Amino acid sequence: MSPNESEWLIRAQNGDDEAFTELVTTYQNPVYNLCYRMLGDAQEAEDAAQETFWRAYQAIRRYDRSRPFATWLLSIAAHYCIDQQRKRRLPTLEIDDWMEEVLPDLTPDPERSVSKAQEHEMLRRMLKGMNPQDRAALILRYWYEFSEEEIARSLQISVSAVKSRLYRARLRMADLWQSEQSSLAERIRDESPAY
Amino acid sequence: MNHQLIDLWLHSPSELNAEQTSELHAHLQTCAECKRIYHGWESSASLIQSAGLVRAPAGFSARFQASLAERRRREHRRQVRIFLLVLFGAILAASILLLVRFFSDHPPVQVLSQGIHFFSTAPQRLLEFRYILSFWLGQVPPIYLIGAAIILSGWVFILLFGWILAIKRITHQGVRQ
Repeated sequence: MSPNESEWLIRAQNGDDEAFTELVTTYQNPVYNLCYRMLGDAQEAEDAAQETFWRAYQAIRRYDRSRPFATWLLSIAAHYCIDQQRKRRLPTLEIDDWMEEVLPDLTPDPERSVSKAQEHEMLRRMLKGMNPQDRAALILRYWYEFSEEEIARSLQISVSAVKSRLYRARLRMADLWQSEQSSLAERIRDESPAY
Repeated sequence: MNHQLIDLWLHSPSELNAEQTSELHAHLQTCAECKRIYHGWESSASLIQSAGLVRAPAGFSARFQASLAERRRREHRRQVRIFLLVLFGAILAASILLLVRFFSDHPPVQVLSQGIHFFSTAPQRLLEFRYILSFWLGQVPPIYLIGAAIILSGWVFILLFGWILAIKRITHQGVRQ
């Protein structure tokens, strides 16, 4: 954590809204990414990220500065997203909307762009195919490089529970990968003029 | 055949020692199911690695700042509602308890007859009270009466002002958590 962030934290804990907004600006991408990976929808991810910062704002006085702020914040986001998913099933995201919002066409090679978009869409579908608790553990481990202990603290579960969740998540991802490959092969076969 | 190695690898992919790793790779040559799982997770992991962070949409923190005032207002209104609900609930509960206690000591028929008696003798009592009051007030010098009235109205004003101030503060700022 930078000296600026420590100062913003102290000021935010003393009720300074501007300092809290600085923290929002600093952590908006990690929080938004977590919400997006958890929920798979740009609008829902924005709402969830905004709600995460609001909850953090309300609880900032109770935040223990000996803990990393990012861990605390991502923990709020993960819990909120898990709760949201428990409450309802997620709507399916339109691929065109997703490509427009997440992957603006900045690369000069259109083939590469499409392939990248397909990969991202596949990853989104695979994440959606997992249960929210396992997904949260997987995202914290591989996108944020949290240790198992950090994940345990963030999700308020034991380290052995984290290990089980990560094991289940990897196994499920392996299965989902195979399913994606099979359906891709089927699509290619169906679209081929030879058939 | 050692299917346990793939489980061990899935539990902690980076913690297999050299011997276990070579044993796993040898096993993968002969076991299609373990090979499927191994390649599935390896490909998924590289897909995750290439995905990177999705950036928040432009203007995210500005939107948060703009919504902060409205969210605070909503939260304060919610707190005021809870405070008033708790207050009225407590008053209601206390009143019910007092009524129950009162009626357990005094049967309703007795209360009713006492009430009728009280209201039927009230005009007579009021006349007696006025007579006593005017007699004693006639004994006190007017300057003391004026002083007592000022002190009494002063206290009423202070209490009323404090009460209005408290209500205004709760309405505007909410109850501190």
